[in-house]
Amino acid sequence: MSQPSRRKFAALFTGPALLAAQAPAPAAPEDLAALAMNQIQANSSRLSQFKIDISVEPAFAFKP
Amino acid sequence: MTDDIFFAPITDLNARLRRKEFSCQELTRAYLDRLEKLGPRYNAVALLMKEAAIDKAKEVDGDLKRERFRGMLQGIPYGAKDLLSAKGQPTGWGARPYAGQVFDHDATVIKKLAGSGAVLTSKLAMVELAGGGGYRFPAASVSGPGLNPWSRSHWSGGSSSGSGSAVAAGLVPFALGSETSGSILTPAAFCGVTGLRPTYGLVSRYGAMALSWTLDKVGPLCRSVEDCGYVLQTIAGGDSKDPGSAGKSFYYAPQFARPLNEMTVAYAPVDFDGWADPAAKPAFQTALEVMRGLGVKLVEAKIPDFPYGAVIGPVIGAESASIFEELIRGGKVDELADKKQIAGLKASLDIPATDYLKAMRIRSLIRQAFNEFFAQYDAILTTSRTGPASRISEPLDRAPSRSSPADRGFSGIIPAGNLAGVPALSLPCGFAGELPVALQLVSRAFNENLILAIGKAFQERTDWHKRRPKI
Repeated sequence: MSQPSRRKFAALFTGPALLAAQAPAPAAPEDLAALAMNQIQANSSRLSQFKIDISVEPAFAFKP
Repeated sequence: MTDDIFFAPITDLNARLRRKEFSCQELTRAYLDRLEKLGPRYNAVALLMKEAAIDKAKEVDGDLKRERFRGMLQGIPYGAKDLLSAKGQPTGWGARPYAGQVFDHDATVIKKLAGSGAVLTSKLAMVELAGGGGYRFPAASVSGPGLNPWSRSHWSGGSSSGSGSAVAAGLVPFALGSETSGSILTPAAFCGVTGLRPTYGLVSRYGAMALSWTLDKVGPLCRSVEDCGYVLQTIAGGDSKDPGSAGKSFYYAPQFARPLNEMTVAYAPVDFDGWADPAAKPAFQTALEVMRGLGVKLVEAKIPDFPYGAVIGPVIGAESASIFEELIRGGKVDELADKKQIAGLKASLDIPATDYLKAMRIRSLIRQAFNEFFAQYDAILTTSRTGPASRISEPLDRAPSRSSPADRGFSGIIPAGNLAGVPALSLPCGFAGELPVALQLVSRAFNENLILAIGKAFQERTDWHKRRPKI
């Protein structure tokens, strides 16, 4: 997510406290929920593209 | 006591305690005062443990008087990330829903350190639940944003935020942190301290908050490589209470290190150029030359090709959703500070089992690939993070301002190294403006002594680890 250039410009002239107050407003909860689900789906899609031999077992009892 | 004492390495403090230059009680009180006075400046402290610390210091003084020496950590104050339980003391995991939570047992690492005579002075602030759901702002903690001692308008890193800033500000000689994917290396790099992520299974997690059973590690943040070696030696070892324990011990043995000119170290030039933040490039380039000057054979290589991000996401997501299912379904998750983390944890309940299993199957291949990689190379050298700490006001998920190089280099090494379970060391290597930046060394499982040897040689040639922020 990119910041508006106006904010970057303002940052040159403001102290940290004011800068903190200008932090971008958090996205609405429903947006964040959708973003989280999109991430899960993107991972899922990426994993499905990875071809793996049927004999490979999961690393359950994980030992390096 | 002068301020120098607050930035002295463990080896120095221990020698001075034995010479009776000061008592353990004096040292502990001095650190407690400093924690009380300066801890709030950095939002570094979750709990000050004055009474328990003084009691322990008295016990240590008794031992020292009777010449019952217990090793390098005897009499050394320290802080622990607030996800490690200390019997009878609040352990809040950085999260409002768990504020005031008290356990009736010590974490194994806390017990081991007590046995060695180390003095627990404080529980240190952290990102709530170690950030398992993903978080958008450094303020994702009941303690507020971790502030960097080098610049309080910048982040101290996460999730072991207080562990990084407390060591950097001289509030503790060393601290314990934990890493699931980057939580020791990041605060160590951002705060200019030395951090060691041990091999998975080398250090017991019993008594530590679980975020991901197959990824969590506990490790030290210190002033030097040598200090990391001594702390790891104390906290490592098999533990039947931790199902992930490898049952192995660790002895810090720099005297038996192989000659550096016999070591082959993999690196990717693009890490120090294309991937590096422009402000950090001069420091990284200089540090690379120092490494070359040590005599190690630097050989160009690339990280084994796997979709690390897509693999580690479902592993952390599915395991943390299972661990915190009650919190999520019961609605208390909404009390967390970071909305993205709340959304992430809720969504993680819907990760398909097939995705988790596919990720864990690919992980078997990753582990195998890293074993083969480290048959060719002794270690990997790259940057800990591509640049310095971000501003506390900046969202952590902002789009990068520069385009990414086509050459991957070792840019995915944090998720990759964690998935493979291999150890990593973060070494301060210079500054980008006023903020520290760091190198990272990675090696094969249980080969901590090798990266510690290279790191020690680097710190003998540089003084970045000795620099102090203006407090």
